[in-house]
Amino acid sequence: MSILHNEKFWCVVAGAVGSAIAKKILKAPKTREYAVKGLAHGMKFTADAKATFQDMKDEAADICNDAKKEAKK
Amino acid sequence: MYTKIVYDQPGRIRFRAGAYAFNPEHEPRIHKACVAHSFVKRVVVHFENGGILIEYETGPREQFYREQLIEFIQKLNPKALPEGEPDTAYQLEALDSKFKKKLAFMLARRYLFKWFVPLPIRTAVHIYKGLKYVAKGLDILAQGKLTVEVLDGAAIGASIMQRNYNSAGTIMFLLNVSSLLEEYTKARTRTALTASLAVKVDLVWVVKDGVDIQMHLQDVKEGDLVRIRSGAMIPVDGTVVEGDAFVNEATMTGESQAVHKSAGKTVFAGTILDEGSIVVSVRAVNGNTKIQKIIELIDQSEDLKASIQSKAERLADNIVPYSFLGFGLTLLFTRNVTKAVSILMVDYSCAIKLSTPISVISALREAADRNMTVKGGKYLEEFALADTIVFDKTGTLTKAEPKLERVIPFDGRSEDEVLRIAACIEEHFPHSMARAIVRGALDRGIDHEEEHADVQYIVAHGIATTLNRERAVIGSKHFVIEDEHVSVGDTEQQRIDELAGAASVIYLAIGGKLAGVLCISDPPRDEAADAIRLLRERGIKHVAMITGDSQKAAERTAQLLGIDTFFAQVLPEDKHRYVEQMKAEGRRVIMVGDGINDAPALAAANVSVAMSDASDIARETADVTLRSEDLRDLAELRTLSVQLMERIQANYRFIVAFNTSLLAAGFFGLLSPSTSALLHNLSTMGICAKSMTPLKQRIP
Repeated sequence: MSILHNEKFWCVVAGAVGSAIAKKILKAPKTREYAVKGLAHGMKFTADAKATFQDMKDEAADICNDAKKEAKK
Repeated sequence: MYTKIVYDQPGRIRFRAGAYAFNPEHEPRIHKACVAHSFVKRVVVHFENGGILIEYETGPREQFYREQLIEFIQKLNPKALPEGEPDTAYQLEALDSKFKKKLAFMLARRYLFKWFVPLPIRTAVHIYKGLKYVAKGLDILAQGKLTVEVLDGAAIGASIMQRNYNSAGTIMFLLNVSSLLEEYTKARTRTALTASLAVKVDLVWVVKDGVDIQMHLQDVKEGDLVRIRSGAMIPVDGTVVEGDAFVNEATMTGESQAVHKSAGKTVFAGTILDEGSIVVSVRAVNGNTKIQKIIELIDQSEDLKASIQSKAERLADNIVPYSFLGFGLTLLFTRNVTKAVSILMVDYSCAIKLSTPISVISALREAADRNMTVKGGKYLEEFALADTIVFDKTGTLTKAEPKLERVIPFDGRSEDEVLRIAACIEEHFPHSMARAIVRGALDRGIDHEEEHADVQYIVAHGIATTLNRERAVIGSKHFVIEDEHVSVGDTEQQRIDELAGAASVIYLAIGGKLAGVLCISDPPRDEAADAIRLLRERGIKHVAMITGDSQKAAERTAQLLGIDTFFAQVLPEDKHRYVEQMKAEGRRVIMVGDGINDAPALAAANVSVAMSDASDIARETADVTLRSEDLRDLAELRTLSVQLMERIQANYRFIVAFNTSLLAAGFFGLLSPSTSALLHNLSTMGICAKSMTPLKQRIP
């Protein structure tokens, strides 16, 4: 019964159980759904950030253009 | 498309449709659709936020333009826009933006890597990447060559061996930035040149039910029959079904000898029909073959590189052994590896090898931006060194559009009849004199239908055809009277001399009798005298003019423009002899021409220039093509080429002085190898960046 008191044994068992659960979780439809949702959010966030950044750049360019015009007067 | 106007000032309006309004592939199509409006000056499209910025002409019609644009954008459906080659301005902006992004990414990666990656991983990555450079250097060394790559490999290898991984990383980073810069400059130049070299054939003669009909190339379909005559560029790929001709396929094969083509043979788009006339059954309409070929030629051909550029590249590689010698001697005398490695870190070759081609390419791009297409660095160098310029008169020094001044009929014919026949024959040929006759007929409201048989172009002499079963010839006095043996009586000649004055005279004979003459006045271009003065100011010592025109007409033009030497009544086959003679006298000659007859003279000169309205052959033969009709562009090109040579020399001086100081500092232990590498690479990058800046301001 000494094996039951062996820490390494329990580590192996825990590892095996953990892997099995992790595999189950990874393959679960819910996990996939959440992952897809997460990715979509991420992609949308990136696109929105790019759009916002481009808006800012455009506005800066317009202000710059106005300033140049003003300076020429 | 639903958009908001987010900025609206005179001459500048910005629409915003928001993210996802259109995709990245719609960007160039929208750009192209917007710049198609004649009053639009600049367009910037961003798919990220669906932004469209349009800059347009201001002035009295400003409000109308604005309304047009708003209506256009409202009706715009990006998905319905046709696919096609993006507009050049769009391509250039895309290249700029890509370059900036890449550079920012490289800088960010470098510093994030430096600040956040633990030292052991950093070291491993530096060693792994550094070994690639070392392997490349060893590979080249194994081939028995001692090039800059060997030096780079040795410098990086020595740093790694000294456990100076940061220094190795810095060298690799700077080398990457240098190659990015070079790649960007080349890509930008290539794009600008592609646009400038695109010889667009808009109209072609299609044979339908035995009748030649003029059509737009875009309307030509597979299986159509296209007639192509002397001097024209073949606009399609296809098979010859009728006639025979000599075709110059140099653009396709590189072979300058014209190839005989008869029924059943294949012809390619972009090649030039030297002599003859053929009917081609269309297999494929012109794609980018020709353009691609020329671009490749510019990019790769050793022959087209400026000799100063080839010299720089050879010099760069030749210096490498001395860098190793310096390394060995420093090690021998100082017994200090660090000092010796400092010598290896600094070399002249890198900067010379990079900055010279960048200077040349950048100047080529600048010329392209200024409406001048230069087909290689070699020609810019020749342009800078030339001391003599030879102009063809008609169509080059004189106005691009000679005017029909007078028609003198003979043989009982009327003025209108003579003009109608002449225009009918001449309309097939792309020469300024021919255009003047056709335009003259148009101005007088004379309708000319095809009455003659197939026309035969006798290069630079005239045209022969059959009209109502009689031989009809039109062309120079030499051609009509001497070659065709048409007799002109003394009274007739006296009348011609009296009425023609200094104008050029075109003779028309039908059935062996003189039917009439057409007097064409050919005034010099408004800016010609100014252009010659500017060229003299820029070091051109001798200005000459060659023309087939009469002594009287040539003399008058020479006087008006201040030309040193002129050769009148020169036969086309002799034009190149005058150029060769000048070369034999030790002059370096620029030849400027426009017609098919100028092609041999253009080829004989050290460097040749074709005008914007030149025939395809002249454009093909010439080393430089002007895209505007302003002769002062020649003076601009001269300034540009001279400044290019000065820039290259100044770069040499700076590179030698700066790097020698670094070598001395390394030798005396004043600089560490990494500081030497940093300063050396920074100076290289600096000189490359400077070499990309515009050379000159436009002549006011």
